[in-house]
Amino acid sequence: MELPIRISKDSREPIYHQIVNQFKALIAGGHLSAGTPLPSIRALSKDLEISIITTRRAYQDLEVQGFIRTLQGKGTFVADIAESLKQEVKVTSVHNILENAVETALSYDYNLSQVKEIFLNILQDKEKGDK
Amino acid sequence: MDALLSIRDLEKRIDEFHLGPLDLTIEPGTITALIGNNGSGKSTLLKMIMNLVQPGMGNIKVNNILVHSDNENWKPYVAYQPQTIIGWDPFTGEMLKDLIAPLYPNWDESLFLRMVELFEIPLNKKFSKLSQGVQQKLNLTLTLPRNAPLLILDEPTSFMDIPSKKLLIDLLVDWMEPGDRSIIIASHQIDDIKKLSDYLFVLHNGEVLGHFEKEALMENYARYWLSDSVSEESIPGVVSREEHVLISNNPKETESYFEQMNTKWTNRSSLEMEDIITLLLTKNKGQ
Amino acid sequence: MKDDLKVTMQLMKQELKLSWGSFIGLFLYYSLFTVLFTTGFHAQETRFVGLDLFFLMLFIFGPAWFKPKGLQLQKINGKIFASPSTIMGLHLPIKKQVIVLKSIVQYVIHSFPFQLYMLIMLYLISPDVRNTMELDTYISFAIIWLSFGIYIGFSVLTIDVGSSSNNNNLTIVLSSLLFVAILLLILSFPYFFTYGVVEWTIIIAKKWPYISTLLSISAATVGFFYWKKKLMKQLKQIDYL
Repeated sequence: MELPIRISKDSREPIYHQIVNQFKALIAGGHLSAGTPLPSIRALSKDLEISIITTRRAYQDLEVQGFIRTLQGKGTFVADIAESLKQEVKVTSVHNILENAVETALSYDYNLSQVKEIFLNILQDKEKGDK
Repeated sequence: MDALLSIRDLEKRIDEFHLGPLDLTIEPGTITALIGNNGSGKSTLLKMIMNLVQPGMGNIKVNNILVHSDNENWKPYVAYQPQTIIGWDPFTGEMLKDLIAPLYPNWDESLFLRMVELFEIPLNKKFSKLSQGVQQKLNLTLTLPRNAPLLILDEPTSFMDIPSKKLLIDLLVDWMEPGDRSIIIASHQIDDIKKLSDYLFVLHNGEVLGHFEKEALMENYARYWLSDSVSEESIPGVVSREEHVLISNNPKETESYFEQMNTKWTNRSSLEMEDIITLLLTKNKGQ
Repeated sequence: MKDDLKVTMQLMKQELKLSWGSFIGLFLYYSLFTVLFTTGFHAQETRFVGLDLFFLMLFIFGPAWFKPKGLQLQKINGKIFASPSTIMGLHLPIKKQVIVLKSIVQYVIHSFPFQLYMLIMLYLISPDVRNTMELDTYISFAIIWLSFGIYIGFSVLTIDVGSSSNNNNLTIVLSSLLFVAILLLILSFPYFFTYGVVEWTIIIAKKWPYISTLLSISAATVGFFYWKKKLMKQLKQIDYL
């Protein structure tokens, strides 16, 4: 199964971390429902062109945090997670994306009030669009 | 788990060529790409693992058995595909299968049949009558189903067409599923390195340049675009520079230097695997 | 040993499928020489002079001819000459002992039956041979030569296992000189010692049938183990680069 996971090797975020966060978002967003089988560590490593060391670390993190579970000899599956955890992930992932956007803006030498302006513009456009 | 293969202080001199000293450990469940320029000693190393060449110094253990001893019980643990196959010419694929399959207790007949079908191999033709690409396909078809814990492939796909190369990668990924097997693959194919390998073992003219975990190696390199040109003095970590573009093999040091010097970069990106390997294998030139 | 033999047979099965051509070739070849020896022996009035070299060759290099293409000696990556099936065996989980055993068994089945066939035919066809030797003398004579085919003939196997063409020039010159010397010795044998090599073995078989038989069989036994050990050693030492 091809998963919509895209890692960026240019990012400063460690690769295993990117994988963990994207999996969490997919699970919390309902794209991967509980019980869905996940690719093996080796197969995912091939698809993402990374070593199994990195993939294994990501899977271990996800397992510890309760997002996936491994059944001996059967494979890895999406775990049943609590609604509150899903919400938490959603908030965190939106938070992270916005934070990244702000970082980018700052790196272009915008100041915070300018960033705020851009952000409010986007929100205004959305409101208009919805009407 | 015990190492499938462990090499200690290995050295070999052949005429003017000197290989090693070399240490290498292969853990179960891993794929190691053996990388090096032509004549770097990759094949010689693999032949020493197979006890085809005597080491000058050091030792090699497969499954904890010394390879260069009178105990030959390590041999069924290894399936070796040499770069040039010798002795197969007069036989047909069918005859070769009858000859090879009984030698391996875990021979996987269904995998063999599947590969014959996928690669469309004529089993009734003499090996010498097959094209080089088909010879390699047959060779792989008679190597992978041996299901020996350690698979050694010496440039297995150099003559194969692109779809077959892709197919082989998928077959090897499947083959690794049990998790206790390992592959050492000497290859110049960038896809083999990117999609298969966990570790890279890099040789240059007989000398070991390093044994890297793939991501760790990737993280060791970064490319910087600078807004203004920098002075000609040497910058820590920088291995190549063309006007405003610098490549560093130690981003941490390079960046702290930039910070000190108050130099700003407009962009930073990682390198492609090809570029990293090229840098590794050409950096030593002329030394 | 029993297991080794079993694996050896199993490995040979595929090679033998290729070998029927060589068996026919060998049969015709040895038949041809049987006729040549019979006529030569008759024409020279029971002298064997001039035929020694051929006779010797049939007991040394016999099996090396008519090897199917693809099993013949090959250059391996420029430096080593070896039989391709030796190399193939080394790449597979086959014990070195078995590789050596297989070389020996292959050599024996490509030589012994044909040598025996020639010796029997010589006695049956040629009245001159029968007149020269009684049956018991002839049996001693046959054993002398069949044994020779082992303790000297097996030396050919060292080429099968592999030899480095990397030898220095001195060794090449020396071994060529030795070869020429042996050739000259065989050819000039009748002039120095009245009789040729084959004739001398007839005389020995006549004079000391039991001792010569016993010594030949002993030499063959010792030779067998010597070459086996030598081949093993060679197999362990050579770098098959």
